[in-house]
Amino acid sequence: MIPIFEQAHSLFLTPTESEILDWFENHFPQCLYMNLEEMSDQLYTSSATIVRFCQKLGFKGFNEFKYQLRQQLKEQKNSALFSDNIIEHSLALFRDNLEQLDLDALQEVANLLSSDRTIYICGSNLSSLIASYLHTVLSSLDYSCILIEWQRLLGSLIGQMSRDSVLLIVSAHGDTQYYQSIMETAFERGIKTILLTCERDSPLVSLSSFAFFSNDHNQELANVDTNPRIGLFAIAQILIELVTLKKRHIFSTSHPTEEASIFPNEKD
Amino acid sequence: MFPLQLNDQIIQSLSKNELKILQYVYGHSSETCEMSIHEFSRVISYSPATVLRFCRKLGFSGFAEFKYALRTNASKQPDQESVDSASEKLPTSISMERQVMISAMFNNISGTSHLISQDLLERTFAFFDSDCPIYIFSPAGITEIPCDYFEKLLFSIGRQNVYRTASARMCEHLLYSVNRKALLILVSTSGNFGPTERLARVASTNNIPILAITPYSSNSIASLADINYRFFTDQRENSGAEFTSRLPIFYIICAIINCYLDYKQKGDSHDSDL
Repeated sequence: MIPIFEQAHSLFLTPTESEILDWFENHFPQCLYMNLEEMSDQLYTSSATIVRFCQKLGFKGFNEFKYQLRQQLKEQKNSALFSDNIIEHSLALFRDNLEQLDLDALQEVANLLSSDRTIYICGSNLSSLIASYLHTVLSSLDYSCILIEWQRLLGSLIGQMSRDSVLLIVSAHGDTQYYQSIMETAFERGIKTILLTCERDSPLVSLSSFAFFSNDHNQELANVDTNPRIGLFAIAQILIELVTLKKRHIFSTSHPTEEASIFPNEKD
Repeated sequence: MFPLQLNDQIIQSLSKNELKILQYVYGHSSETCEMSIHEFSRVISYSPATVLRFCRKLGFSGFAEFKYALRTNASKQPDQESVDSASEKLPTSISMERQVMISAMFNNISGTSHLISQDLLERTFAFFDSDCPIYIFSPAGITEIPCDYFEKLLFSIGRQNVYRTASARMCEHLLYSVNRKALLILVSTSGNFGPTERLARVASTNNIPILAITPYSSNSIASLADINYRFFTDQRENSGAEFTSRLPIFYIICAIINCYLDYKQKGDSHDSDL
């Protein structure tokens, strides 16, 4: 119930005032858009009586009463939709995700992505969009890389990639079925592999050189994956920002040796 | 965290100068809290009267109340300790830069999330609930990816009749030939991309509602749209190759979908209660 109405019920009201209260409750929220004259016509009572009713509730007049009523309606609607504070909750999750990341390890990966090595970025289904985003932005930053969205193609390529290639896989589910043999081949051949996933228990983690986990929740609706992967997008964005920072340092410094001390080369 | 509950109506009401003031406050909220109105107006090179008008448009009685809102929110700022501790072994400059980068990223997302209102979501859900066709214009380049993301997530939540097209001419043709209620979704990182703006005009002329995701600054696409989601981001390019972060756009789409799922679940449970 709207708090103003609750408050009114707790007061001693004359029979006319009780009728006014009933009318407001029965004509809510339409009454919010009526003026005093229209209301007095409908209630068969004088404007002065309605104003006195508003003053009894602690308002200066009818307009203040209507304003408060609107505010309370707005708050109630807000709480109805955001009862679980979805937006605030997702913002808190977003912040938690940023805070749990190992920035040193991400910097090492950013160094790999901006090195002279051949970079392969892979992802399928919705994860392919994260791979595609990383690929497109890195290309805009002059770091050429190869995007692979077809798992069979990746399977045939893995045996031919040069040993100093870097393979970055985005897989929300840590999809063992598709990536296990690929990661095993990469591991045997000494290819650096980076895994971005939501699943800490994925068997792929032990096969990867670097693994980063987002706090996205793998969920399904009618057997369709509805995990929006915003945490994985955030990790991809951090990698982009670290690459950008490195690039800015390279351009801004006039002493390349100093740059090397700020951004140490990848550990082999 | 950007503290001000800005809706699209407020943003539309701000003049170019007032948007510049907003941009300054967005990047310097803690400094703003420490300044008098005269100091502030000197720093931003606008008169105290302009500052006052700006504060009033944002719903505050004056500069003091505006600062109070900024300060209140500053106390809710996320704890940076973990970021600091993760970076403490690094040289100060890079550690600082990383910290600033993470803070800026969070600030953009936080500011963006505060612009998502119940009213916007309700109007969006009305289109999702109907069976009207939803057209998404997906211009080639980085913006194509969030458009693709929106399309795939709409399919994943069971929405049918979603048509994404990369061709502006094809999209224009569709808008001219559609003979029933429809929705056009436009995403623009600058808010002024020529082909997208043109489609917004075509849709507007044909009375086709537009859902736009554009930056918080005043822009032509937003001025033509019916449902405006706004985001905070810093425009960036590398010798002509633009690489502005799309993370806030992904975040808006993700928030819309999450809220819609929740809204549907609540609706379903309400129906079963009846």
